[in-house]
Amino acid sequence: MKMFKKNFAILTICCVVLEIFGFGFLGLKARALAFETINEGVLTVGTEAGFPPFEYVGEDGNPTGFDIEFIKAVGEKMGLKVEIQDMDFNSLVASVGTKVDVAIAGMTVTEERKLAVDFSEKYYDAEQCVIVRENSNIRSSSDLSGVTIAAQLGTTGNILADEIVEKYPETILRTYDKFNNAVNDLRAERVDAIILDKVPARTFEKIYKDELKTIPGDEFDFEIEKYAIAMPKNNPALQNAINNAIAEVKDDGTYDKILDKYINADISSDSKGLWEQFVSSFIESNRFVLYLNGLLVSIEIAVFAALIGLALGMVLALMKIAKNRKGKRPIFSYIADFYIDVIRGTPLVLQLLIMWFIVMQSSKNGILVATLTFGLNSAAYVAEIIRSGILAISKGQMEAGISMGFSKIQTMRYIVLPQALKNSLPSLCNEFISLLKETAIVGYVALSDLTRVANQISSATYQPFMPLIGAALIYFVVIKLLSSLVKMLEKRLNKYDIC
Amino acid sequence: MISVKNLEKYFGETHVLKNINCKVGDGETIVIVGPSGSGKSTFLRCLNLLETPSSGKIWFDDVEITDPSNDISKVRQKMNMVFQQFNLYNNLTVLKNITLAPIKLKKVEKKQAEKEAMALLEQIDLSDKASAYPSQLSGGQRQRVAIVRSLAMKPKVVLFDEPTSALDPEMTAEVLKAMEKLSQLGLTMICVTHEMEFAKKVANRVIFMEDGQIVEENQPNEIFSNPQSERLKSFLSKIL
Repeated sequence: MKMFKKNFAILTICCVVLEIFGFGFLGLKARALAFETINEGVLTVGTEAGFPPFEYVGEDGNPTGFDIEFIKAVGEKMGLKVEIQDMDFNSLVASVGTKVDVAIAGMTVTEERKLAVDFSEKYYDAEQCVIVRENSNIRSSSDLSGVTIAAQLGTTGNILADEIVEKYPETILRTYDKFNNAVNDLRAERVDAIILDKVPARTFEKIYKDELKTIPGDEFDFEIEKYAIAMPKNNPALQNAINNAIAEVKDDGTYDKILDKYINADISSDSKGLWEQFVSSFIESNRFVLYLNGLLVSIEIAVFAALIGLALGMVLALMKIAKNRKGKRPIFSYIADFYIDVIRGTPLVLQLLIMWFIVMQSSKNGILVATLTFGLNSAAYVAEIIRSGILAISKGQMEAGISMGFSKIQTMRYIVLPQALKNSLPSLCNEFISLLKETAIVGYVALSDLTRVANQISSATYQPFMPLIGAALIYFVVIKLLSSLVKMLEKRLNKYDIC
Repeated sequence: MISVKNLEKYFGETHVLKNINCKVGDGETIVIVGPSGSGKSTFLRCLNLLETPSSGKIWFDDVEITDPSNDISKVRQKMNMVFQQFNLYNNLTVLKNITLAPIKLKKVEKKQAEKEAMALLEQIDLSDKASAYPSQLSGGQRQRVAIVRSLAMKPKVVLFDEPTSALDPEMTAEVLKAMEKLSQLGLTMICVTHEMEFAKKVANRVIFMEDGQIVEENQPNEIFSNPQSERLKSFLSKIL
């Protein structure tokens, strides 16, 4: 009893704090009119660090690459500190102006994108090309008819691939979040050709030099694409400032230096043995720290979300079983029903995106948004667990309480709820465990949790095996540990079980 | 102390209590007998509104408890119930089962409440079980704890709903002994039971119910040795 009381107190405080933060961010911020940035003195830049050599996660765990150094040089000319946010490429355009000031991610200027954002002067001419397996017969556009082609979701390659599918309806298009995954599927013969930018294509060709080859885009009538920086629409002050800075960076030779460093440099392409893969995935440049940090992000979100879920879930459960004097369910009981139905009837990843892009549009705190989303989601499941826990307590307990002179609420608090929570404890712990696993999707809102770290490192090392298996092992060990704890807890609780 | 007027109770279409009228005086021990399904327990549960009467009125110390504007919780503090299934609070120790209501509802000091509870446990020879949980007690021990839990609130009336029906004969005897003691101390008791010996020995008045009605109501020796109605006669011939 005492233990429960204390926990409730802590939990209530946590919720209050989180809610204050959460709703504090809800007010929409006025869009900057003059040359203003989201954070004063800082240029917040969105990117997708899975597109080497333009952007990828460097040895220190931070995004680096041609685009990153370039935008840092541009920011310096503008007198701003540059902060990089790594997020999904799909989310980038939508984030410009709300979550980030500008986006740089090897992004081609297209008419479609121009509807949503404005672009700077182009800073790089990119050529789309096609990579195929070494023994492939694909040589030109018409050879793509009827085969399976791949592109990264939301990239220029994706747009070209769509056109090809329109032309050859029997061609199948697969889209990927990461080029790495597409390349691995190409090697595994799951796809036959990938459309992507020339520079990363060359990189992949070098790494898998006996397996893959690149075919220039003009064989397929692809036009030269222009990379530019995306920025909010109708902000001429910012646009001018950036264009001037780009001109300066080009004039003083910085641009060429960065070009030599990233684009024209040779990339080592030795295929690695398992031990070397292990070293480069975990030990080199202290990468294991990145996994641990990722794990901490996952745990942090899961723990706070579980607290919100428990508090709100309990309220929802009580709302759901409430009855009025006439034994009928009051209106708020149906509201709880509706909430639970909606949450359980929609995918968690969509709830996360809706919170990030719509409900809490003005918040830049991804951890907060993710924690709230997971908490609100978990509450629906916790509510059902607690509700069935309450219903499993015999009716006599409630009758004994109220016939002694307690109100229904007092009886619930002193007698029924403690028993219901005790009985539900194993299920609640299991809910926490699945919550921890579900945090694997927070990469969508630019958070580096364990799964995203594994993805980033596999992009940076071109080795999917070790990082993915490693991350899975870390999840497994942590969750196994937790579930053994739950088992021990269950055993102890059963000591005073109700006969 | 309690008076019931024209009490009716329906469960959906079923007419469970038909025009019950009854008065209970201070310090009386009333035993309600009758065949299963005759409405005895429902009647008892209507007295503290665990079941809401369909119509009719009930007064307790001149307070009309069937009037929704009166706070039933206050009344229940003075009119406790002891159940067939004991219904001890499973999450609390024996001592806390007894002290919870006095501390929370009557604002008795914790030390004082515990002292009184220990004295009560002493009377039923269970003081060594103060820190045990209900699941560690036998049925008879649980029911005795349930009775003193009720007494700790110093009620005016205790309603007993078949308190021994879930117990074996040995345990039944120990519970009945405790109840007899209470009756002698002058507590008002209304008791639904199948223990005819208890009714004969302890009751001031026996009510015989059948088919939702009070068929006969009299002193125990009249009920058992001089039954008036055919229905009571046939009931007694079956059980004695």
